Amino acid sequence: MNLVKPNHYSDALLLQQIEQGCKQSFDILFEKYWAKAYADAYRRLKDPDQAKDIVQEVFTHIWLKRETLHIDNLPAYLNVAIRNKIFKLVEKQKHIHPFFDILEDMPASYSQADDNLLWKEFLICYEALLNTLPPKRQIIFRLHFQEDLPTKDIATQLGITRKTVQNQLGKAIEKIKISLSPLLPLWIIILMAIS
Amino acid sequence: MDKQYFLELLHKYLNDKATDVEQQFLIKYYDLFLTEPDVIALLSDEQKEKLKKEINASIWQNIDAASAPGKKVLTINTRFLKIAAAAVLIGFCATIFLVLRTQPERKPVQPVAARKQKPDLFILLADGSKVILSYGSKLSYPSSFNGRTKREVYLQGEAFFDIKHIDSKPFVVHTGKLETTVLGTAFNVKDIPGDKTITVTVTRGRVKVSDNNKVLGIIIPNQQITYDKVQLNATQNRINASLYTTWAEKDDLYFEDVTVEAAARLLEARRKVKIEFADELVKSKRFTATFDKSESLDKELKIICEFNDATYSYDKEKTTITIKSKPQTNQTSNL
Repeated sequence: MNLVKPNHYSDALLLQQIEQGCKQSFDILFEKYWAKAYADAYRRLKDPDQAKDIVQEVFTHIWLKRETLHIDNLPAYLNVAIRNKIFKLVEKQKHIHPFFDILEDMPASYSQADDNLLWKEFLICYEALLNTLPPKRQIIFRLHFQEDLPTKDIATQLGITRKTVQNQLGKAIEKIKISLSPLLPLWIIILMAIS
Repeated sequence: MDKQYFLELLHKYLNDKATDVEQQFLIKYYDLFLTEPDVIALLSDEQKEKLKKEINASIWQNIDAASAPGKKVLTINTRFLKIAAAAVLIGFCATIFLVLRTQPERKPVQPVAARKQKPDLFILLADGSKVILSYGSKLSYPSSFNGRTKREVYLQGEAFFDIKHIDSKPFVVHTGKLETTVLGTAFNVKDIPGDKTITVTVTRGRVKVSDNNKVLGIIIPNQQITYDKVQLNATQNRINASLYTTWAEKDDLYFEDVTVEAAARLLEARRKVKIEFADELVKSKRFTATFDKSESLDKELKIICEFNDATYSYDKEKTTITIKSKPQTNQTSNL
């Protein structure tokens, strides 16, 4: 037997051993990745019990399905598996969950986000998503995103003035880039004045 | 960003229906959390070691439980384990839990694979009122309301009530200092320990909420009273009641020793179908089962029928379902 330390085993070798039912290899793999998996889950869930459950489920699955799972890149596999579990969990607990906090704080966080790469990437994707929405919905979202108004309020506001203002607003918004967001509150004042 | 829309996206994503753009958005949203601190780094070596051992032990327990012959995959839940640990050793209790869940003494339990969500408990009270008790909540109620002037129950946590109308006997839910009095109606009461407030939400009928005999308000559908447990005052709002009661329709549901008829009534409400009985015999049979929210109506009907020696059939329009006893039992079928 060689004397290489646990962390020096390659994932591929460990997974191969696991596939054949080697519990030791599984424990080595767990030792190597559990902390990152737990931290990743905890970041989103802010709940030790839920984070534990997610890590348990993902690793249990790796063992139980060892003969059929063919994992090429274990860190990537864990990332996706944990992400999907979290999505599932927060979807079920939709009423209140820390996972939605960023969503609700979006306008506030946006201003501080200028030099944060993650935020930049996120905003690009958000913009791309908005562009796929029907125009009416886009307006509502943009107002909400920049103004932090409850969607209901915007809907009622737009509902009242929908016929008259919507087209203008739609056109205007096409031209207003997110980077020019300070202009948007003006539009809302105009909207409110009209209604 | 609208939460409702975000949940729609999540739902689409989980059902493999999200577009690339939608997927990317969700993934990038998820990645935003990378700026949150690494909780492991904040733990001491001892705490880390303890946590690691706990998780590892649970994994092997899950694996053993899943690999045992004849058992389907079930995962042990940390929250449940915590409760169990108070009484007995964690591992021992978890095993018992699994055994109980899969092989109850009285009636067979539906062998659901990989049921991870905690089920709500469906309770049929002696007067025919229905209660869906949220997981972890407690309800104390008498086995019979006979000889009492009021129908009184005591709630800790959250429950949805659908109360049978009896003019002469008001139904009272006690939640801490708060009393919710009704004659016959459907409403939701939420009093989570640790929360500062108790909320009462009405979906049907009229509900009176009072505090030490002082009436705080009488509310009707789509109204809600929020009672501040600290300041002892109440506020009344207009709301969309369905938002507060969807949990009762959507969560997994645990039926404990209920009659087939009671289960059918609940299924009617949840699934928007009509269920009839071809004979009386099957109606009063009792069973215990868990229904996963993701299961189809057919699966649920099949479970009910299998446990109670019955069969079910749809009418031509597929709007009414008829349940009848299997031929070998005595039946008075009028199909």
